[in-house]
Amino acid sequence: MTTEARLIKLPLNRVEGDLEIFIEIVDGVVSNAWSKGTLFRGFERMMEGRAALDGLVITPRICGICSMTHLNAAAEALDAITGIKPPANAQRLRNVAVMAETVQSDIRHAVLMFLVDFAHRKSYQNHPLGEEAFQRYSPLSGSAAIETIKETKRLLGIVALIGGQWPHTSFMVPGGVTNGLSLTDTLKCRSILAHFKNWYERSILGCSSERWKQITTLDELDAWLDEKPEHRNSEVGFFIRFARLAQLDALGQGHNNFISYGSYTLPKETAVQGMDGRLFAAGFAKGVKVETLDLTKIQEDVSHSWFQQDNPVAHPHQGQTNPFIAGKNDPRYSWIKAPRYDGTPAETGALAEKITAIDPLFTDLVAKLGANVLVRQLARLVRPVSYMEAMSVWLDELMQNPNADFYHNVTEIPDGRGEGLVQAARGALGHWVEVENEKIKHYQIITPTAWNGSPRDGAGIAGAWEQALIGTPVRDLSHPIEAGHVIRSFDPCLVCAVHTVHKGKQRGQMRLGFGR
Amino acid sequence: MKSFIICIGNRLLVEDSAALMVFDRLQQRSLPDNISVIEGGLMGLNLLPFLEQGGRVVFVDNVSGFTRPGSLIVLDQEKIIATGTEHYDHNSSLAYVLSVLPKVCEGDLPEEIVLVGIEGPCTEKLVEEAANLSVSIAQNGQK
Repeated sequence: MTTEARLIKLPLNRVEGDLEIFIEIVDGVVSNAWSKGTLFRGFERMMEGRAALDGLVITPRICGICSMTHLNAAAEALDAITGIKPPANAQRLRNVAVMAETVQSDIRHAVLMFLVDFAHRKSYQNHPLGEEAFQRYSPLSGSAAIETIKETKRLLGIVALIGGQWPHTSFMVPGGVTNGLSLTDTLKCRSILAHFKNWYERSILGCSSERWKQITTLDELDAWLDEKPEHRNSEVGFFIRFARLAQLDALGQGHNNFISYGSYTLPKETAVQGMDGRLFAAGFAKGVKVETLDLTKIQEDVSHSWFQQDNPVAHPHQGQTNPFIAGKNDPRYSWIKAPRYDGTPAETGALAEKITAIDPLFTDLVAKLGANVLVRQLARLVRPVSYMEAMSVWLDELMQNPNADFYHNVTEIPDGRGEGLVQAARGALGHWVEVENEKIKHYQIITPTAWNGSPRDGAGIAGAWEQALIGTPVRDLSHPIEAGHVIRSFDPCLVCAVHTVHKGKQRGQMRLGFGR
Repeated sequence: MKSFIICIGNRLLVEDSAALMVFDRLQQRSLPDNISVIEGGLMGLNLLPFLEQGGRVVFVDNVSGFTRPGSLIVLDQEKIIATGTEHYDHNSSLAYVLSVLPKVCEGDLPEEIVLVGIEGPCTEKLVEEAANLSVSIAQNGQK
């Protein structure tokens, strides 16, 4: 038996990174994995004692990619404390802005960060579709890579029109939003969306959104692939064909548990259909068996994290953010806490969102194959279908009622506790807030990457992608691309996951992983 | 000619924050109307809209290993790209953005793109010099 422990470093740059993954390889297969967040941030501590509304300005700075979802969570937590529901138009504007950011993130991640690995010559020189993948996804010249940059750059115009700027806008406030949207600007948003949707359907899907929605089973997915060359040659079609040949449907299984907070609070009156007041239902699932989400069951465990708190396991309303430097022989190894639902780890993201909302296609795929790299990435590639449909309806409804209220007057934030639970691009994002005397008494944030990149808990149970890595075959020890596929299928964003900033190593320079 | 001075970096990281100190200093000055000063932060590919309006673009950023510490260096577009990266990640590097720019530009490419590089450690005097140099290049081009 040969045992070799290797350290994989994902490509990093100055905004994110700070994720180190150690994998132990025995006879060419990953036998164990440790996910290590190497950065202490401590935003929760920055919040304590500040004015009640400060979360709206500070927490969006947690992330340069999904700042809108942090704003959304911060605003929803304050909505819960005030008990005042924002007017319908405010809800529409909040939703459309967050969705625009998420759709951009999904497609950029899919093409520029995930599929780019298919263009790795050495790894896929013998893959029948390797040369075509290189033509499509090569970083500076691939046809899909260049198109993706061109087509996604306009999307944030929607956020800028609604929120005044991107990133780090603070236009969501308790009681609604800070401004309405003029008819002209609503028309501009519609035009940006329509342009993007047209490209997305033509290039990413290869069919209309309506046709895609007809696919409800694995068999129907296969039939869709065979139906037309446009389907097979779209990015989705090519991805499925390439991934199957590379056996990505057998990689990255994991715990097969899913958590989603549900997403997008529905406006009071809207043509958009949802469930329990949300566009997509919240839930926890073991496999495809979905349970109603019980928020009291969410806890964070710091047994293997560099934090100290009275009880190693605590609900976020009681959780603390006290950094604790342990000695060499201490079991702690990460600045990420370990979130657990009823004591169990769970993965979150586009796939989890589909499972808890009982999407027929993804329920069938997971029932038959379990969670895996292919299905996780497919869920992200096609998530914009349902998002753009709702965005379009909400923009139409805004056009019909341009002068309706966008704000209910909120003069004070009463004492109390509230939660803002939303779905960010990378999954379940929660802000737990307690206000006393108009000041923040307590603030805890659990990011999606805390769920996915969690370390072990007190029982020694691995986090989501730690578990998903186990069993991964690695052909080339000098370039473990298979392990990279597994991690990237979760769309890691460590800048969110690790709880000021530590002056680090060679920041400002991109370190390339995998010999790229 | 229209000019943008785009200051990039991260305020939270001392060694990557010099350009944003330049930004703060330029905010306090009254500059000619043709010069816009942008806080580029870590916007990566989302800086593209500023690079599709023709004119002159002056980036200001920290650099490492180009010149003696405590001094400035001016790099042209080719040299920036040569610092290189071939890969995108969240908030991609300046070299990546400039490499793909000609392929994704839907407006007018800038007539001139330069980088005023600040080699740390950064002092008040260096920030002042970088601000002066950026404005001079934005106004007159690289001499």
